Amino acid sequence: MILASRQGKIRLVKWYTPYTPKEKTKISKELPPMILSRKPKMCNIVEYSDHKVVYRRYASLYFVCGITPEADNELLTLEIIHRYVETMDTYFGNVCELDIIFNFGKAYAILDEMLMCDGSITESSKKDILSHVHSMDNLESRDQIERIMS
Amino acid sequence: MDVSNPEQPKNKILITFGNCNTYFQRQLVSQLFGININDGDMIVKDLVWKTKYYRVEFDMYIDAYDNFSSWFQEFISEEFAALREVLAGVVVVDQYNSATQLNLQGLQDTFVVWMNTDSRVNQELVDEVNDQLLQVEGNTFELVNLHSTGDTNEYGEKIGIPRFKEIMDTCSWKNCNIDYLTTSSTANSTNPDVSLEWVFQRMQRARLKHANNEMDNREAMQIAQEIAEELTGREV
Repeated sequence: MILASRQGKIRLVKWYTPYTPKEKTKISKELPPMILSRKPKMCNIVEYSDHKVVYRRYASLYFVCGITPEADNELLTLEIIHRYVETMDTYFGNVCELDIIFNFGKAYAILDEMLMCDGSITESSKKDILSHVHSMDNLESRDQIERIMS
Repeated sequence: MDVSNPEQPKNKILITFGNCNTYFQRQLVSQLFGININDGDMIVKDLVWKTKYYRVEFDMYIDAYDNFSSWFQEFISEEFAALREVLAGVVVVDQYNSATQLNLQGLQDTFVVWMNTDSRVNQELVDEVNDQLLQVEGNTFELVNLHSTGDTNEYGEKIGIPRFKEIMDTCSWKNCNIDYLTTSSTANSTNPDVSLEWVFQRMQRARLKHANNEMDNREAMQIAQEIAEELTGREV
């Protein structure tokens, strides 16, 4: 999954299939310009190499997801993207590009709560995802306080 | 001569006006950057751009032109290469003309915003132009409509001056000294008036007292609750 700004700057990247660094660079270089160059009314599902790419634009951010056509469902992928955005929106309170730039760790944590390392869905409940992320936040702040107090 | 210096901070904003009176210029600069300038100011130094995550110092260069094409030709000439190297962004304030061709070669790390002053240009047209610009690889140019009403466009993107501020917020400020204000997304839920130093001193005193058996659990809980209320600014 790649999250790119409208200037083509990559804000988040998460790989769910093993790729070599060379392949990763190639995909990261090729995919955002290809998606950005698509007209607004064009289909959100596009073929790329031997894969399909599902993307969706939210404000100035493009959420791009590469899928295997035989194994994944395009519409479900769109729903996952939407659920991810909704969850971030609730967590940050009207999420914007700046929130993701400065809290990319949290954005990855939310994604990790939703999808497993092979790309399959772990949790679809927004409430549960947020509860897990808030628990992690509490642990983190407790650790920080303990570190300062010790 | 190679004037490029990778260490140079990109902390200058160039704003250029086409056929605008000085009153309008002052007013717009105040709206966009929240500062007051005087008539004839060309360079304003040590300004601060602040977001909820960082603050950065920048300088503003103010310019004006009669003919945009000749101004732009001069701007992209070799003579101004050193200036282009240190520009975080360029803001053109004028009526947008679709015939205007911009060659933004060498401005990959610099945002270019055209603030359209023509009230006949509606947001739909602006979105259309921006959609076309997106199709150009490596494009950093964006058209922003000064007269747009409403909060967002059809993509849920901010429009008008708020969009300009968003572009400034997400600017990379390459090689600049950025003061990071907070990295916690939950920081906005805390009480900003509380001194953390005071809180930690109180907690340390309570910890010592508790370790010396001078405080029972009920009193410890009471202190913990008071600190939590103090930090969040509300009753726990």
